[in-house]
Amino acid sequence: MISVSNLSPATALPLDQLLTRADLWRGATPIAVSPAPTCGTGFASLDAQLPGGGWPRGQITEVLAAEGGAGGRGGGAGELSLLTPALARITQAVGKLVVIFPLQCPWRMHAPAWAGAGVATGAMLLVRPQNLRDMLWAAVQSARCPGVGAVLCWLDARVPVNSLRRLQVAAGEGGGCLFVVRPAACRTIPSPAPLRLAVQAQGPELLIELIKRRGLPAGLPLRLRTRSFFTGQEEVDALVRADTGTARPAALIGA
Amino acid sequence: MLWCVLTPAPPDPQRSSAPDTPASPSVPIVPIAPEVGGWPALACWAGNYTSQVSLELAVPALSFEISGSLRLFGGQGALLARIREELPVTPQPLNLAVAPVARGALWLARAGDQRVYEDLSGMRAALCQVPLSVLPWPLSVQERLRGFGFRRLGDLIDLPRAALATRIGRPRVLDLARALGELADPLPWFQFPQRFVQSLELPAPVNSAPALLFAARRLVSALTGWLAVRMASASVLHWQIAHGRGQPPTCLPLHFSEPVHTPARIERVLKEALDRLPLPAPALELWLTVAQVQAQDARTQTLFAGGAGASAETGLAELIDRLHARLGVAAVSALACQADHRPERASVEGPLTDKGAGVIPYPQVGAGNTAIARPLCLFDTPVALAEHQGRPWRGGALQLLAGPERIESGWWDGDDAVRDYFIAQDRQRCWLWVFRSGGSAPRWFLHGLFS
Repeated sequence: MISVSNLSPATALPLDQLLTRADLWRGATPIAVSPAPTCGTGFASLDAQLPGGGWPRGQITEVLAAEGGAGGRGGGAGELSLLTPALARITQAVGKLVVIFPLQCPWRMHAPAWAGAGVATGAMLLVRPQNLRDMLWAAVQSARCPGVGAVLCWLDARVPVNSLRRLQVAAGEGGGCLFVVRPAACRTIPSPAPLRLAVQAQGPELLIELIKRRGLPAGLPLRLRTRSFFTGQEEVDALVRADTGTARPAALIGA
Repeated sequence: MLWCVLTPAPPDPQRSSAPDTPASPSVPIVPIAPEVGGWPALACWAGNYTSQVSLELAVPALSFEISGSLRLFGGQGALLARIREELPVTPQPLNLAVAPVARGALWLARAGDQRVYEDLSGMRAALCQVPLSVLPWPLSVQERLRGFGFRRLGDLIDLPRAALATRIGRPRVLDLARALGELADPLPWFQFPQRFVQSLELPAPVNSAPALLFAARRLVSALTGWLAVRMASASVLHWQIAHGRGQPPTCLPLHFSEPVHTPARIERVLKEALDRLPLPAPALELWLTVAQVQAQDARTQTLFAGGAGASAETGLAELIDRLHARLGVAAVSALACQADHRPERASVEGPLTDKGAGVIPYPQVGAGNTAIARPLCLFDTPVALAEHQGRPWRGGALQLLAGPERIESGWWDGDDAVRDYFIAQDRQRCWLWVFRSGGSAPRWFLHGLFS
């Protein structure tokens, strides 16, 4: 709060100094100035939309993604490709990356893909608890640990709000980034996370909608090209169409 | 020299001998039996502060010399405060006295004087006030001194020693001279055992494992003292919980990712392990055995407070230990690439190495090569997909975005793979990695998620 006495001519601060204050709200500023440290996302257009210009450290970032065979949990919509540039930067520095996903998940982390995205796989710690309680416990312990730079955790819609709040406190103690991936259905459930995004793949692009952020609500969804490997749509269609006649891949004939 | 002496308060002989006191004459007053099993553990605990420890079981008393440790622990006040705080809770309360002479400190402790005396003159003045009844002398000698009309040690100190010796015996006079610091008083040093095997009998049967933590703390503090004296650290602790009545004991081995020697780290991991330990029967006794120790890695202390690197490293090792203790060793793993073209073999999850997040030494394939499209999540077993009009089907026809990429490998080890990989998008707009297997009847499979 700025008291009236601060604005009296005798003690008036230069306007530039006033505007940098974190507790000053300006109607025209699109996003809040975040006093908390952040970690750049690696995408300039996304950084411009986030308070502090990056993923918040010491706070939960909730990523809502469509479910792609993960059994009720989000995942598969390209949400990790959104996070990998930041994770790569964290793991290449001193911080460890703790990845917490349920034991029942039919998939596991694929090392060459992580290494290809620049993440140091040696700095990754995979934790696969059996139940939700252990998952939350592991997430809290990891988030609180000072040696951990980032925690990535898959949670489903059943997580109580209290547990998320506890996670948020733990993240504040540890000071690392805490990314929570949840299914898109959690959108309507209130969450204590200060930053929430919904992620959806659309063709070769990723559609990112900022559901919640500090400051003014965001406008239109962002389009990011997080994956660079897509060839032209027509080429693939042509290839497959050519195959259907022979009922086996053309390239396999010689094998 | 500065000696700390721990001893239980002696039974009050005034009360036991005086017939006129109403203190329950029907109940025979038993001298408090020295809890022999607990004293070696207590001596090990003293190793936390000094290596000069002497244990006298006959009295019983534990003496340890701390003048050499004052600087390490930040001064006398800080060290004594720490000793008092960390003193294990014992069934009978212990008196702690501090004086320049071990025997003098013992007598002060038996008299219940818990002040700190740094010089001989101060201790001598305090000893003058000690009642004769607390001295560990035979009852006949005590009676005789009482007959002389002596009540306090001050009455004896200035008497001619030769004459006193003819009346109460030469050993007592030598005792007196040693207590006052006039004669040297060599004490037998406590021999720290080669292997750490300590037990603790629980005062009452304990039904739930988490409740054992409090009792286990005594053994942990003994262990850390023993480790400190040997300049060692342990990475495996074997706990045994005895149940009696012919029941086999419950074993609880604790594995640490790096050798430990501090009580806080041991206790935190022990707590997680005890929380998920079922007890088949009430616990009666607790055993702690350490089979192997390693030398402590001598780490220079940082000049400035808050060495961030070291604290982060130990914090991480502790996190891994606690995850192991609660979730099991198999639930925590490291990730590494392996040189194989078959995707299911290109990634290995393995146990962590000693240094925490371990790296399995193997050539890194595809590192930095973003041209190769690999999904971040790979299915354990490929999911078979239906085919409609030559297109894979998963809740709708899949839209193929990129491909094919031919992977053909493994003909030499019997696990032959001939596959054409495509990147596809399903109706929920998830990026999938699908392949069409070769062979006589090609089929579509879902193998990964481009999360």
